[in-house]
Amino acid sequence: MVRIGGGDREALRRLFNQYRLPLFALAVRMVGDHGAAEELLQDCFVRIWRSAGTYDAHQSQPFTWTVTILRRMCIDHLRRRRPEIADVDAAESPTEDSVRATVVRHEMSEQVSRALGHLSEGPRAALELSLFSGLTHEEIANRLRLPLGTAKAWIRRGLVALRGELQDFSR
Amino acid sequence: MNIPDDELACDYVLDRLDPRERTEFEARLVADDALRQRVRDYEDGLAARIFELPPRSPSRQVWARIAEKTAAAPGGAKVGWGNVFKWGIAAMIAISLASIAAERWIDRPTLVVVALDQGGAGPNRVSIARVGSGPNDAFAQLAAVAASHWEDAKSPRSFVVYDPTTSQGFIAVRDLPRVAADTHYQVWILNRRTAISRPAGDLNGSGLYSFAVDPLPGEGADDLRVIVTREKGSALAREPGTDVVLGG
Repeated sequence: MVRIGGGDREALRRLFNQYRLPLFALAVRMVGDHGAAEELLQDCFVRIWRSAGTYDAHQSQPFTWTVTILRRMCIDHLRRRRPEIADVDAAESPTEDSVRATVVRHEMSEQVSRALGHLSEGPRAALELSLFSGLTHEEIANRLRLPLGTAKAWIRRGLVALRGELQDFSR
Repeated sequence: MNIPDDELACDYVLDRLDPRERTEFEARLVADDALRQRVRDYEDGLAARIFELPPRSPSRQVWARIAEKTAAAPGGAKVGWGNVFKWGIAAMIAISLASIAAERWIDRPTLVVVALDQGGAGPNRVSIARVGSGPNDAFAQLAAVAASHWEDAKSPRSFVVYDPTTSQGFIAVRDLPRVAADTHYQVWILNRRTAISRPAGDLNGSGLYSFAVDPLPGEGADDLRVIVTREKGSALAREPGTDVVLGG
């Protein structure tokens, strides 16, 4: 990352090749549109090129830092496209079942299914909404009709469960 | 690890902190091993979930467009010698990390401590016995030495502690004047031989901040200098300006 910050374009190309599949999958998952996801991935790497000098290895791993940039861009895109995401309180909240139906029914690998299998439906939905929807914690709690503290605890529990079951792919 | 810290670590990884909370949290990460480990745990969970999404491949045109856009936009900040001389070498205070490259190979690594605000003062060296062999052990020792200097009233008001073995360091700053809302402080790593500069993050005021140097090809430790500049705007600058406030 520091080499990218130093203007090494080859280092940027290597980073792109290393992360393009999971990052593109994340963008498609969040915005649901192949073309928009490609544009966001492209803009993400341009932003990495411009701001790699600010990366601090002691604060986050390179993959997490890259994911943070892409998720912010996806969330901005979603909010521009669907204003109701930014104003979920004003919208009619869907039922918990509908959230589960739209959020949790994804192609999960056997490992992820096993990891998330340790969680009940509610925590799964909270975690998936937190990772992929662009909703704030407050909005997630409203949608799932939970106290804010419970929603946050479920999300933390979900991340820890994943970490415990799965190999570290990011290093 | 208490519950609020656990929540903060999760929110940090999920990018749920506001800018002020994020800055405060990152400052704490420097010296708190348990907190850093908790962040790593959550990062592993996040990465694992993303890597388990059905892989999708973007079209080849995506990289072509990235290459086109980055070719038109400069990446890592580079300055020519003209810019360096414009600052004035005397005003740069450079932190010379001379004669330490060879110390990579000795059994007792030597940390280099350089004052940023005592113009012309040479570097001091602190020889330590390494505990453990992993990168985290080295970082923890470096942090401990930096924190010790930070708390020592006899230490310079602003200084850098650098570990040439791991190419990591801490910069300590005190009493930075308050800046206007549209101004910020920024740290730079300079190579005085090639005149390449690399932004190493921003400063939000007094504090102890970590940085890492990824040596460029052919770059020796004695080539490196650190300065702090005052930059206009809230976004990180890509090239250092002329308002050098530390290191000069």
